[in-house]
Amino acid sequence: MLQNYIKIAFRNFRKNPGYSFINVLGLAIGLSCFIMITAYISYELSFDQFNEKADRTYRVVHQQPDNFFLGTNHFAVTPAPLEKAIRADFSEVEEATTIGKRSLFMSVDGRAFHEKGIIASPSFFDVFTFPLRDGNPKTALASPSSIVLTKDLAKKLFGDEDPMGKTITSNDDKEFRVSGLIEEVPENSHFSFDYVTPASSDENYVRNKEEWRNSGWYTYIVLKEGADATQLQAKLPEFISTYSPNNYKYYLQALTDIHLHSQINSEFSANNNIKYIYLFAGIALLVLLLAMINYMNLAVAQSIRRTKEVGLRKVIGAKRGQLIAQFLSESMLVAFLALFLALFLSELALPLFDGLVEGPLGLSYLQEPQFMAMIFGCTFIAALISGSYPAFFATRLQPRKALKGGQEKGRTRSNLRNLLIVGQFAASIILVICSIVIYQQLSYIQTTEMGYDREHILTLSIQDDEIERQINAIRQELLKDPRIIAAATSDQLPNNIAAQTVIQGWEGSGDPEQELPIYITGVGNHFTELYDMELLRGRNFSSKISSDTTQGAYLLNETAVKALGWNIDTAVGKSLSAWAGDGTVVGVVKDFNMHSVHMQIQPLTMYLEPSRFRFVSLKLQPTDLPETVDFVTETMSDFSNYPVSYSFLDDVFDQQYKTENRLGEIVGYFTLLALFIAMLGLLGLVAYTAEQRTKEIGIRKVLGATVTNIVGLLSKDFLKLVALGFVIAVPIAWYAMNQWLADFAYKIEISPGIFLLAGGLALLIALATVSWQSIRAALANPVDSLRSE
Amino acid sequence: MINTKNLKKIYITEDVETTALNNVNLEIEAGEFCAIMGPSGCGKSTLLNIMGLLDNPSEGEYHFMGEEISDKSERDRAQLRKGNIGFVFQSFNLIDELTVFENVELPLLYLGVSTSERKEKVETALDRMNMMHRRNHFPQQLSGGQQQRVAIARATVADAKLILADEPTGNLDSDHGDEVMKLLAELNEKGTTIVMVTHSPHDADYARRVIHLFDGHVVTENMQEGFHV
Repeated sequence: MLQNYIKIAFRNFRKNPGYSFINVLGLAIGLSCFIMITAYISYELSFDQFNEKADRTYRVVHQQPDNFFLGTNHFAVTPAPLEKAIRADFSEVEEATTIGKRSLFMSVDGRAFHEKGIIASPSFFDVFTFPLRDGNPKTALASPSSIVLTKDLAKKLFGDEDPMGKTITSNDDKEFRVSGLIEEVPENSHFSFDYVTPASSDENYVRNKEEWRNSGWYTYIVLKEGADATQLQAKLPEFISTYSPNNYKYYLQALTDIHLHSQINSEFSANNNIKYIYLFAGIALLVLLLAMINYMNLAVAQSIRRTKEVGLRKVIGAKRGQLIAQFLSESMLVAFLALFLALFLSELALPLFDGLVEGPLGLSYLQEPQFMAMIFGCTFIAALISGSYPAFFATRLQPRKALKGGQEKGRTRSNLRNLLIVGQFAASIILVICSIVIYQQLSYIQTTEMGYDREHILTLSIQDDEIERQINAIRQELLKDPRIIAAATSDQLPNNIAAQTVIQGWEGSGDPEQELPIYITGVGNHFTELYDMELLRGRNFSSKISSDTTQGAYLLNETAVKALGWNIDTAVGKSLSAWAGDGTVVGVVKDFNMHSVHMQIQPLTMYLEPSRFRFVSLKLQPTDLPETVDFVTETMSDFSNYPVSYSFLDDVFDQQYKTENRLGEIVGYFTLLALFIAMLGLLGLVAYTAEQRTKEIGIRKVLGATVTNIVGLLSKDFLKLVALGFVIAVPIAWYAMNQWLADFAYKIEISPGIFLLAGGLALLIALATVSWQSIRAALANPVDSLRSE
Repeated sequence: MINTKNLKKIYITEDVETTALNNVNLEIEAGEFCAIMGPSGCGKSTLLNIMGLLDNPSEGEYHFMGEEISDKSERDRAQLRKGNIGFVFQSFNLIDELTVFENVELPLLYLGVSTSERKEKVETALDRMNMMHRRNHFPQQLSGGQQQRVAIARATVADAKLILADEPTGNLDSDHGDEVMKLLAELNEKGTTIVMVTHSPHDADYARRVIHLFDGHVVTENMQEGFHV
């Protein structure tokens, strides 16, 4: 019997190659989107799972009730003594470790390197699973002079020699001896590093070892099997209060939640957001749904043609269940052919998708049995759902009626079909609207004035003290090249001023205890000019006015002036007390966006600090950029033994909106695919309808209808459906995009034009699809369609 | 009205070439009632389609109302067809989704006749066919004879000068068939030219002239003296 089903399924498949092709292709594209997005989501969900104790590992983080910094008052870092205390006080804590970021200038046999790694307490390898290829995990971090390298860094430093026991010298003349080797840190780890040095080798850590007031390290704990994290968390406030003078609230984050659920201050590196995972999952399901709708629509349409066959089979003695099985086996055939095509398409497209999401999905997911089982399961369910409607419908007819031709009333069928088409277009239009809104917001971010110049500005990140000492000579040397227009130093860059202080006591504040949190950065003399910041009142810092450095001088932004309760016109000359001590306001600069468009502009003050800085900014001529960069790195190498890391400010700026840009690209691509699938479905249906109506078209033509008349007749009905889909899509898309835009402090308005554009686009695509088929139908010779009578 | 010279129609498919019509020379005057007879596949319907400007001959000349049309484009033929030629088919070919009234209205719609004039003309045509009481019914609610009467109303509503009927009684029982033939004869008496393809000698008796086709060419043409009325 099964053989018979499959045979018939194949024959039907071959009999209508056009429909079968549309069916398989549409479903394959849908499945392939689904596979790729599922692979991406599995990857995102797999973060930190490679750690054997992942399910019992937690990160301790805290909240500072009064300290809102960069939009949140939660902080990922903790005081250094926390590890020891938590270990001692809680028997349910099996292991604990502390890690911190480290950046080292190192040299091996006279060759200099600048590498990023971590410091970690000796128990690091007991908490995290980074198997050592060489060395003993128990003792690898025991001595302050030990260092564990990743395989790649070892190769970079020592080539093919065995690195174990070899010596690395840091720029402060400390020596590290290689005590272990590990594989590369997996991409799906929420922190990454090229080497691990013992915490005891880091002066800052050692200094703060017993200091509860400073936070700067990440503390992880592993609970004993069966221990309850919520119970432990409940005991934390009391525990902390015996050690810490601050009123910070400590709590636990599950290790595996960090990557998608933690967006707080001082993260090791920027995390993803579960919101985007939901969004992508939504898109994946939507595209799959579109493909399934296609399948259902075409299958239902075709089932009309097959009512006679069904009647005949019934007369011969087929039971309804057998007929349903037959229809379902056909949908299974199509679905699994589509799946194989989809797997093939995914193989082709995954590298592209990898680039899009910047994740190394590779093809490994396709080889994982669990993942494949899930994909097969989903395909099976999709086939079951999309095949069942035509199966149940076609087999419900009375054999007598079915034999008579079955053509009778197709009302309910065409209603459902219409409903599905409306749904398909609604979904496509939603995606189109989202794409347009996201695109507009992205280009708004790109083009809107941030209040400072970011074109052709090269920024050098400075870690070597030598450069600070020789900055005046360096500046002179660099400015000899006419391609370098200006040079300025600063503690922070204008696109991300991430230091905050508190102003306490200022002119006009009635309460001497009153505090104003304010962002602050030290800048060199030429900073505001180089970044073309507009000075509204007063003057810039000047090297000629010695009181700027000796007696404290401040520049404020407009927001700060307002927050202090001052007037811009009278602010200059007023006194205040901040980080750099008591001082006077010498000027007011126009507000510039110093964080991101997600945040409102905050109060900011700048003070003159020409000799301590972390960045050198260079304004370059737009021509010969690569050569200028070469010149800069060469010049810098005359002053420092270590390579200087540099980047262009507009690249850094783009990097700030990486998530949004990626979202825009992904939504864009999937919108195109969704539209394509919807178009395929419509194409199939119009072809089908045109075929159904051949006789009518023939009659109308004989009676004098022109091609235009016929095209209009066939197109009108479908265009109505698209219009209805539009009406449904608009409020949903409007709501979704308002939600998205709510995260931006500076954003576009969703204008009606966007909806009209999306609607127009959908209509145009539908029209193009429909008219191609209807023109074909309209051009057919009516004699052919009427002759058969 | 109709004048053909050496009319030839060849159908070519992948593996066969079929000559449907071969050197057909015909002349049909305005006001004639002409029946075309012959066995299945002799080319009757092909001839009718060419006469009705639905199809072009492969070779030969065809003059319709004085115009040479064998080289005319589809668009021009459609233009000439509108309002001049009415069709009646064996299987009625009414559009199922449209009511009786809407079916009959269709040719006027394509001619661009105004709403009020359409209403008047459709009502006259339906009245003549005695179908006014069924104006809001759908084709499936009518008997075969009634459907054919609607089809004839549709063929005549635009005052066609020529009616081409392809086995108009083929799907009807004899009573209804006679009824339809009488209607056609009445139309002919009022001046409409009628060309009818039929298998039935009984129906052919209504015509003044019978043309016999065999294997694509005219075998005989008889004038009938004592034809039915």
